[in-house]
This record gives sequence, C-alpha cells and structure tokens, in this order.
Amino acid sequence: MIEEKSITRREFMKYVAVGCAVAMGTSFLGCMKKEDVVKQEIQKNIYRDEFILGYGKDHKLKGGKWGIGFFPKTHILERLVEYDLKRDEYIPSLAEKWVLENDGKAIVFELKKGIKFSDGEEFNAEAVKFSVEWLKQNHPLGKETFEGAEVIDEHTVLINYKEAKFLNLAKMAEFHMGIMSPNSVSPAGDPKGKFVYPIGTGPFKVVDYKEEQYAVYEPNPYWYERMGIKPKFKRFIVKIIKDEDTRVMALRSGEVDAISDYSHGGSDYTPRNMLDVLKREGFKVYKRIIPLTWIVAFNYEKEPFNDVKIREIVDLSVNRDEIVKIFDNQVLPAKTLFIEEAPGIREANRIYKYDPEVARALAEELGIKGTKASMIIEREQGDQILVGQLIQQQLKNVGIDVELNVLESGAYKERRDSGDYDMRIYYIGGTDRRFYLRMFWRFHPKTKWKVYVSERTGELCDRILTEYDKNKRKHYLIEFYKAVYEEHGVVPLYFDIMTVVASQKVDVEYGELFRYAEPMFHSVGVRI
Amino acid sequence: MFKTFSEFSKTNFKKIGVIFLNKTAFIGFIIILTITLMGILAPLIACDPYEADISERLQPPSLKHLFGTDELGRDIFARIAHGAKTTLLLALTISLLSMIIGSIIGAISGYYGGKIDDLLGRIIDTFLAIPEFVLNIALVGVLSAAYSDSILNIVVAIVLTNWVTYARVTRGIVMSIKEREFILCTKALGAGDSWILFKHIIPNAISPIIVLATLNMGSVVMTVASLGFLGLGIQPPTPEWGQMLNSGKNYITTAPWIMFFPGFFIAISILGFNMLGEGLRDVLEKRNIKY
Repeated sequence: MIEEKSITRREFMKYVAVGCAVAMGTSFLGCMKKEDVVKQEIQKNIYRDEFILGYGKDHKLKGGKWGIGFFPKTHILERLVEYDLKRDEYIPSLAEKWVLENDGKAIVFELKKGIKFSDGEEFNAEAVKFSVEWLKQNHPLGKETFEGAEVIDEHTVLINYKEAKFLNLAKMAEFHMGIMSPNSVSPAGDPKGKFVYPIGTGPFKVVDYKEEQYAVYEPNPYWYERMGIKPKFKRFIVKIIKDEDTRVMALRSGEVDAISDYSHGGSDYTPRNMLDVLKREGFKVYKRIIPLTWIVAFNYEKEPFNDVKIREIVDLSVNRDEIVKIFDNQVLPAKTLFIEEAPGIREANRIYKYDPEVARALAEELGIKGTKASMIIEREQGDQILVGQLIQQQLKNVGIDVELNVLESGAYKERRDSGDYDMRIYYIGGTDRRFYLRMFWRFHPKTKWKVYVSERTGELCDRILTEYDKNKRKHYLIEFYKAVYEEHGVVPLYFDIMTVVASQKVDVEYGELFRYAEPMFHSVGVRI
Repeated sequence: MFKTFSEFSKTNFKKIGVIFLNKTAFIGFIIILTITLMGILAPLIACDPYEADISERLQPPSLKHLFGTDELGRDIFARIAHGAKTTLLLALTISLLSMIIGSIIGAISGYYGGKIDDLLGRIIDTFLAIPEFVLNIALVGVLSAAYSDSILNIVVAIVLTNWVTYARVTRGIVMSIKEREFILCTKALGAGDSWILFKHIIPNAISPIIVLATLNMGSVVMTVASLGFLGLGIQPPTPEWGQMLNSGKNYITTAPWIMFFPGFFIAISILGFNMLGEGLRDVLEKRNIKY
C-alpha cells in the first residue's frame, strides 16, 4: 500500500513537472514578440513570394514636373529628417543632428554613418549635395527653396536656403525632399543629367515599371539590415488601377492582396462609405487619421462671402455630424480647424458649432434669405459631390440657395482660377509631413493655392513659418486658429483618414504600416 | 402614296386607332404612358427629390418610402419620378432634333444626288464608322471641359452622332420616291425642289422615320443613362436614372434597392419604346406597302 502510494506520488510529481513545463512553454511563446514569431514563420516559408497592391496613381518612376510619384518618394527614398506631429518636432532620419546657421538661412546637417543606397553606394554628404542641386535644378519646390549645398566633410553638409525661415526645416521632411543616389541620373552625379530611375536608401528598389500600368519593387537588403527586420516577400507589385470601384473589385476578386489610398491624401482613395461594407465582407481595414481637413472655402473677395457675417451663417448651418454619417462615421467631424494632435489646437480651444437657429436669426437680421450662391466641385471627387449635396440642403434650411456645379477638372480649374464661384469644397493640411508646407500653400499671402488670407491671418501664417522656436511658433499657431475662427475664413467639415484594405491573408503590423501618416508596406506579408 | 401632307395626316392619324389593336404597340404605349404620367405628376405624387435626411439614409422600401432611400436619405421614388421627367424630356428632345437634322440632310442627299450625295454620303459613312457611344463619351468629355451646362452638353453630343441614322434611312427612301411618276408629274408641272421635297417626298417618307424615332428613343434613353452611370451625364443633384445607378453601386450588397429601381426603370422604358416602335412599324409600314 505504502509502495503503491509512493508510486502514485512520484507519478503525481511527474505530471506536475510536465504541466509546469507546458505552462512555461506556452507563456514563453505568449511573451515572444510578434516579429520573432514572424521570423519563425518565414523559416517555415509561410509567406508568398509576391505582395500585390492596387493603387490609384501612377508611380511616375521616369520622373515628371514634380519628380517621381509620392509612393516611391516614401518607399524608395528617405529624407534627412522626419516630422513628429504630436510633439511638433523634427526627428532624425538620414541626418543625425542639425544646427542652424546664418539666422536659419542655412542648416548644417550631420549625417548618419554606415548607410548605403540600394545599389550598394555609400550615403554621404556628396549624395546630399547632389540631391539638393538636383532638386534646385529640376523641382518646383527645390527651385523656390534652395540656394545650394556645400560638403563640409564626408558626413556633414551645409544647405543654404533662399530665405531664413523655419519652413526650410519643415520642407526637409517633405515628400519631395528625398535623398537620391547620384547614380539615379546619367551621367552619374550631374544635377543637369538625365534622370534614369530613383535609387534611394529606403525599403525598396525598382525592378520593373510600365507607365500607368504597374511598378515592381524588391526589398532593399541594406535598409532591412539597418532596421533589423526581414522582408516577408521577394517582390512587391503595385498595380495601377485608377478607378476606385475597379480597385475595390480587384480586391474582392483576389487580383490584388490589398488596396491603398494615394499617399498624398485627398484623392484616389478607397471610398469611405465602402470601408464598413468591405469590413463586413471580411477584409481587414486599417486607417489612420491625418491632419487633412476638408473645408468649405469661400470666394471671400466678392459678394456675398466677402461679408464675415454671411460666412458665419454658413459656418453655423453646417451639421458636421450629419456629414460624417455619409461615410458611415469612418471619418471624424471637424469641430476644430485641424485634428487635436496638431500643435496648438487644444490650447486654441475654438470649437466650430452647429446652430441653425442662430444662423436663421442672423440670416433674417441681414435679410439674406433667398441669397443665391454657386458651389463648384470636381467631378472626380465623388465623396465631395455627396457632401456638396448635403451642404446644399443644410444651407437651404437657412435661406441660402446653393447652385451645385459638378464640373470636369478643366472646367473646374478655369472657374476656380477666374474666381467664377462662391464656394468650393477643398482641403487644408495633408499627411503629417505636409502640415507646415500646406499651411503655407493654403494660408500664406504669397501662395497661389490659398483658401483664405486676411491681413491678420496672413501675418500670423508668415510668423508661424518663420519662427524656429517651438513655443513661440505654437503661440502664433494658437492666434492663427483663433483668427481663422473669428473671421470664419473657412468652414471645417471633416478630418480625413489614410486607409489600407487588405485580404485576410495579408499580415500587417499596424505600427509599421503607419510608421508615418502614409502607409508603408515594408512589413506586410501574404500568407500562403 | 400621299400626294400632300394633309392627306398624309388624315390617313396616318386614322391609323393611330389601329395601334391599340396591335398588342405589342399597346403594351409599349401603356408603359411609356405610365412613365410619362409619373414624370408629369411627379411634383404631385412624390416628395422633394432633393430633400436629404441623414437619419433616414439607406432605408429599405416601405410604406413611407416606396422604393427606399439613398445614401443621403433621399426618397428614391421621388428621384425616380422626377428622373423620369428628365430622362423622357431628354430622349424626346434628342430624338426630335436628330430626326429633323437627319431627315433634312438625308432628303437633300437623296434628292439631289451627284456630288452633294457623295459629300454627304462620306460624312454619314465617317460617322457610322466610329462606334457611336465612344464618340458620345469623347464629345461629352470635350464639351464639358468647355461648358458647364451638362444637359446642353449631352443633347449636343448625342444629337451630333444620332442624326446619321435618320439621314441614312431618309436618303434611301427619298431616292426611291423621287423616281415615282407623281414626282415626275409634279416636276413637269413646274414645281420647285423645296416644294417637291417638303410637300410630296417627306410626307411619304415620314412613316418609317416615325418608327425609327420611336425605336431610337429607347436607345437614347440607354445612352443618356450610360453617360450618367459613367459620371459624364447630368450632374447631381438633378435626379437622373443612370447617375442614380452609379451612386448605388457602392451599396449593391447592403442597399441593393438604390440600384434596382433606377435599373428597372431604365430597362422598362427601353422595352416600352422598343415595343411601341415595333408595333408602329407593323401598323404604319405594312399598311404603306399597299399604297
């Protein structure tokens, strides 16, 4: 009996030991990072060799007026700095650190060491000098920004700018300011040379390209090595599918593994009202809010909207909560000028209200009932046509009779440029990196794409874009938001998002996908 | 053959009664009449087609909303009814304009022959060589870049391609009629060309042209709807069936009624015009053979 009992105890102890081992093993697996699991999966060869993406814009890998497309600008090239919107700070990318010189008219960048372009060439100060000279020669933004560049030593470069402005640094994080290898042109290193194809330090290198049809990339091994991650595919194929509905159909049919919004933001995106439908159909929907605000822009230099009171009526009449319902609440109603992460927005505390009663009373007081106003919208902007129709109804309720003109892009531009309109639906801001540049493009007196400029807002905008000191800049930003609010310069409608919709087979790490505001596809993999 | 227009009118209007004895024509007539009445009475039988109510968006058909609501919460029945007016008026205008232009050009070409016929014949052949809808798309694209009036653009673009069919048919008929004895007699009596054309030839060619116009109305409805579906037609917020079909495609799995009703009315109106046209042909052309 005793013997039997001791055997039972021994057995019991054995079971306990096995149980503990299993529990520890399970908890160990649970504690493993996702990347480690992924690495194991790669070893098991669970990912397909190809990842196919549907995208709405050509990648312009042969170049164009504004250089290559926005997608390769983020996936092939890297910039000296990146922008952190939440902290309103510029953070190192290819540059380790930087120092302002000549009151901010020049910046000395100290470059990171040991970085290689995808063709194996070293990234150094000569490459930065070449890129700056190339942009100065060939790019509209480079022409208006750079004076030139000087190599101080192999990893230090001084860039001279045309004006002493904070915007100089802000522009360095811009899409267009990617650093190219001097071998990207022929003869190599000649800023006046012929552009061949982009060679950068970013995650991908170009393998094949057919204009308006496809672009094929391969992982840049130097980038992956530097980041300490492994690619989950051998080839990355981007199919250019211009029509948004066709892109969705391509995803549904399995022709592509995922579809993505245009990196630029604001156009060629997956229809917002399709996101919920696609999610219900079993697709994975990833989205990130960006500081891009859709607005009603006024022709504020002519009647009736040269009157701040009439602009206020429109402002109070627009029900933003209703507008976002058109998009199944996938976007957020814009009750402030920009998203709350934008610098100074919380502190400015200017909330755009919907108050039709006050709007009606104001309309009666001003005797503007029955006022006619035209609103122009581009035919290609399907979502904005819907928004325009809803705003038309909302303004009708306060006595403003909006004539909606949906126009072909040529006719739209003609009417916009000639000032033959009263209102239009447009956007301010962009992806994070464009926050300050778009502020210049939309609110500065010297820009041609302005949506609203008054003496007060114009001066504040100029100060914001000049001021290097973060705290002072924030102060000007707050004053600027208050001024736009008080003058009802624009009517914010909703905050846009950046989306990627993928099939169930696509593994996505959200943090890597939206490392920046534009989707980055270096970490995705398609399970077999 | 009719010797004068008044003779033609008397004889042909008598035949209208016969249409009701023709089953195909009668069904077609009833369909078109129903849609036309729906369009005419739209302000009385339907609510405001522009009124958006977001709280009512994507509602399925019910007693409150017979055909359901769209993505902005607008009543689809109201938009269909008001859209009927738009579509039928457009089809009628385009067909009439095409008929007038095409018939005159065809009649001149057939009557005078020779170099005029060669020149007009080549123009007609050139138009016929290009797929009509492709040409419509191109023309609308070009016109809308220059002019913002989408209705006018559509009318011009379709008429510019549509007149050719009428011209070809009229030319053939005129060529056969102009050799008849009564025309030769009229000529011998000293009648001028325009007198002969408008008093004697065109009245005798009108029956097949009317049949063609009726059948053509169906294809014009189809073209207008197709352009609307492609976003090239009548622009929002004006209700138009093709454009409604387009706006509903994103909701085909969740709110299929947004696409179903415009699609149904496009199909049924084309069917109606085709049945009416076929019936008219049976009545008018077969009878004309006796003359």
